[in-house]
Amino acid sequence: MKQEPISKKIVFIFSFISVFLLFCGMFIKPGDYLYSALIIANLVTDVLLCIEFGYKYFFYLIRKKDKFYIRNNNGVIDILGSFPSLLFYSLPGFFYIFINYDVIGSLPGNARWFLNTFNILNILLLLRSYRVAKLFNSFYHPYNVTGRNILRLNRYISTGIVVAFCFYLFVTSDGIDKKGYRSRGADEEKLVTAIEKVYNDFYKNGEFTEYLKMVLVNNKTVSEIKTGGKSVYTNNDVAASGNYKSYFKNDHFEVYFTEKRSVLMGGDAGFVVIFFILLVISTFYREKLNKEVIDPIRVMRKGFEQYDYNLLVNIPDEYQYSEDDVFMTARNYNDKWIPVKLKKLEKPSGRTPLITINDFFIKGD
Amino acid sequence: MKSEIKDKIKEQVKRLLLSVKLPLDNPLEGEEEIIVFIDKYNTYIKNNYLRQSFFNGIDYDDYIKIFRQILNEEVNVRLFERLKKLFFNEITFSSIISDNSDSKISVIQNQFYNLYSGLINNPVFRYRLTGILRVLRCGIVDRYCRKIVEDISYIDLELINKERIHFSPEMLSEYIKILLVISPLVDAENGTQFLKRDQIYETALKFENNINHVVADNVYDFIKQKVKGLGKNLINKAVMINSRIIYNIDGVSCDIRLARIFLVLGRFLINTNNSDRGALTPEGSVIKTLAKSSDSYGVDKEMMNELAAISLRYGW
Repeated sequence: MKQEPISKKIVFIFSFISVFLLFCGMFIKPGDYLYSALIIANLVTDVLLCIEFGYKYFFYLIRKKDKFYIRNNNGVIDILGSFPSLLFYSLPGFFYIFINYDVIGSLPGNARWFLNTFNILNILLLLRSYRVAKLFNSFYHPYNVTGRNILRLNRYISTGIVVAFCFYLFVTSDGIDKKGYRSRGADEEKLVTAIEKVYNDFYKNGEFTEYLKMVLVNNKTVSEIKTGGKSVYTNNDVAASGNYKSYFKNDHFEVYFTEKRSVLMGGDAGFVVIFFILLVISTFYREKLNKEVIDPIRVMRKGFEQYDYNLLVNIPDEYQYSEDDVFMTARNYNDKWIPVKLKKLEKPSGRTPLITINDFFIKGD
Repeated sequence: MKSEIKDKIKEQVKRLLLSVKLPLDNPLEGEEEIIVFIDKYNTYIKNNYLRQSFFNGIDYDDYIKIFRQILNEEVNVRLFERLKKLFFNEITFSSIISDNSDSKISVIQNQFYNLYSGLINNPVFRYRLTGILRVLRCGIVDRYCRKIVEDISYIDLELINKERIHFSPEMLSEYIKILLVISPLVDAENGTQFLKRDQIYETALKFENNINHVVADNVYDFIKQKVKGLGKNLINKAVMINSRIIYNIDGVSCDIRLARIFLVLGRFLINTNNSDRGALTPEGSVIKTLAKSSDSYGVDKEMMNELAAISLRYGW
């Protein structure tokens, strides 16, 4: 089965755009003026990728090749790279910004506790790095040796890195406090101390809100502060869904924090690492693979199949005496098989003439 | 009726000779390909022939007879042009005669041309000439001789030390070309019968295995009448390069051995324009393979290795 359900070019364009958006995501943070545009672009790409996966799966399913698709032809990458991102990143973000409805925030407490504690949201976002593998894989075909090897290698390596970063995220999730919120890091502790000081000095004077704004200017980690159930400070730039809140509460006030550190370390770092490793694989490694395995075997195959083919395998200097299986075979082919063939070719009847019957009689003769 | 069919066959032959797959520069190669094709796929062509409504007038054997006759004529027309170009433009002959005035050279050129024209219908001569014209078409003599001299190779040192001659690249390739051009002139008769290609090959092979100095002297006597002013030594050398067992003879001079290599190469460089990734070039492959089985072709192993190194170095 040689045909592809979706042409390689379209797959390449899709994956290129999605990887480009991942790059943009590294620089455009919640609060940037481009953030809404990024969310919309992400939503569109995610939906398209999901549709692509569905179409491909259906295509292979009716040909009873679905297992082949999932195992060998990027099926896993297509699933993991599309649906989690749509469900846990683009759709919630879209709802939060344009309908002002916080999907994650409105989850029941236990679910949110689970997501927060084990960094599940970040882990799900990390799966988007599979799109890099999809981009690099769009150059290869699973039906030839080079393609199959590199597809497999890309799949294994990206999976390995994703699993490693998941483990990292899981280990570095900061733990749980009594009420099911994440405990605070050192930066947050400093902020809480500063806010407490402002509260003690100015709350009674009624100038608490103004001083808070002075203290928290340019700060992008605090999204909301409440006293006695009333909101006294909100930072609209910061609040965006997907970046769930951690929480501090004492007798006087509550502070809601957004969380960014783990997203950066997990999602973006994983993406960058995968990108550069796969870049190296599909340039340098592919060249080596072709030079040392695929090309010699292809030349030898032609030599065994075609009657007139008498080209020798080019054995690089560094492998001239190596005991590599491929080059041992190639040396035997060069030294024994081709001389015998050449001897046959000296006799005129031993070779296939260049012209064919179609040259001899063309239609109309 | 018959002349009409002849015209049609003539058109067919002309179209075949102009085919993209055949080299335009060497009509003999085209002829060889077509004849090998006819020899090899005779019944296949016959079956196809019967389906063609075009040639209804005559039966197949007559058709092939007429076809080969016309092919011979058409190739001869082109071959004469090629020989003219060869003797009057490509080779100057100035290095082999002591008195190299223009008039003397043009005399020699004309004599060679006439000698060739007389032998042109001999099938074995044609077979030998095919390889030589192929080597000249590939330009392989010029390229390799230049690098042999410029890179101060083993071959060059052999020429200097043993033969006491120091060639410039142009002179060396000119000299090799002259040896090659004289080498097929070993048969005096002008045969006309259409032999099968394999029979021709067997005849040539038999001759190659049985060359000795008596044969060389006979050839000298024959050429002496047609071309004046060639030395006996030169003609002996040119005859000896046909010998397949030349490498086993001790003390064979290295210019003969070098020319022999180019003569042998001419028979194998058939399809030189397609190369593959991961493979050596077609030229390099043939040279390296011949170096491996040098004994059975009568070529010098050391020289072959040298040429293989050159082809690898310059990617030819």
